[in-house]
Amino acid sequence: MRADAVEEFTAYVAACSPRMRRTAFLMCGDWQKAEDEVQTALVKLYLSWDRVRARQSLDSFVRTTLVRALIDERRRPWRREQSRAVVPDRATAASMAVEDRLTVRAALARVPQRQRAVLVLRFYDDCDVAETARMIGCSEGTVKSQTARGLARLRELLAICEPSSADCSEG
Amino acid sequence: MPDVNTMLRTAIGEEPPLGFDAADIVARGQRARRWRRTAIAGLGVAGVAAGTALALSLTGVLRAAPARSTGMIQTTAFTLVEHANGTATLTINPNVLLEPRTLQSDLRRDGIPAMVITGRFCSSHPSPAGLNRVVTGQESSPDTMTINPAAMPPATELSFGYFRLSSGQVTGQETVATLINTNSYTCESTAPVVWPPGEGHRVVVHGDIVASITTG
Repeated sequence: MRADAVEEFTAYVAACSPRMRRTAFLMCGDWQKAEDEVQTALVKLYLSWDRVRARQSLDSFVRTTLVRALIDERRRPWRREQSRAVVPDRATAASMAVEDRLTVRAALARVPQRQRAVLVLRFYDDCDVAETARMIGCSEGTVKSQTARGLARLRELLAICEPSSADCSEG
Repeated sequence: MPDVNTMLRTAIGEEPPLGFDAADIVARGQRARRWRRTAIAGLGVAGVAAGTALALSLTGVLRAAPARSTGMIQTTAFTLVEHANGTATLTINPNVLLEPRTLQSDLRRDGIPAMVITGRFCSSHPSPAGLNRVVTGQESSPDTMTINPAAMPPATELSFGYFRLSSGQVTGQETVATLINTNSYTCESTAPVVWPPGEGHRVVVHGDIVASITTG
């Protein structure tokens, strides 16, 4: 890679890394895993830099790589999410902000992976339906239906996971 | 109930600091690119072996892989030249104070896993073998080291320590390099090489260490 391209790539990585790690975290619920996946996606971007830069949005490329890696990862039996009797990170008497955060995380973790990815892309990254469909590799109709189901599921879980409610694992 | 965007932003709180920077990604990308080229070259060799007759008939059509793109980074403190064969030449200006993070990130950008520290020197015990294949000095230009990252054993890094020297009337600087195990090393705040007598620029090989020394 030429020196000016390296400089450009470096500037992009510095700017996008925190943002992309947040997206990955919302999809997988683990900061370390999110960081690993972002690094893998950025190395792929490095290897395709000239082609990607000329052809499409850099953010779109990195998000697509992240989303597909995280969805594929969950398909592998040995990495599949496992149900637990209780939510391990449930807060007890911390501040309200911490309680809210853990409640949302616990609910989000129970939304099916693909629906969760759609919610994150559409409502956190502000991607439109067409862009989300392209990144996930499905039709726009599927994105719309997954969005509706994901929202319904998230709201249902949040009601169950309210601090004053019963254990959210019952949802 | 708050909107979904607010809920998602709420879930992100207490974000830990980022554990990598752009230089790490560039270094990993360069290693991946090198590995890919090696793999492709290996497949090419296998293909040629399987179809020697065909390959012979195609002589003149098959061409060598294009040369690796080269580049040069020049700062007031150092010059780093990336060569087509994968090696890099590092020349340190003895008259300018080195900024270690800049050199470290530039070395990594050139695919050389390196740790550069001022006033301290990190080493592994025992030291990984093969430093003489990785770093070589030049008699004609003692400020210059040639680095061959392809010769570095797996899970090793090049450790550079940069010291300002001062003893009586003699002052100068010393840049010391050695190979370390990425996961096992210790750091000391003393320059590890005894100064050779005389003034000027010298490259000294001292056991598992290569040092570029300037005094006067």
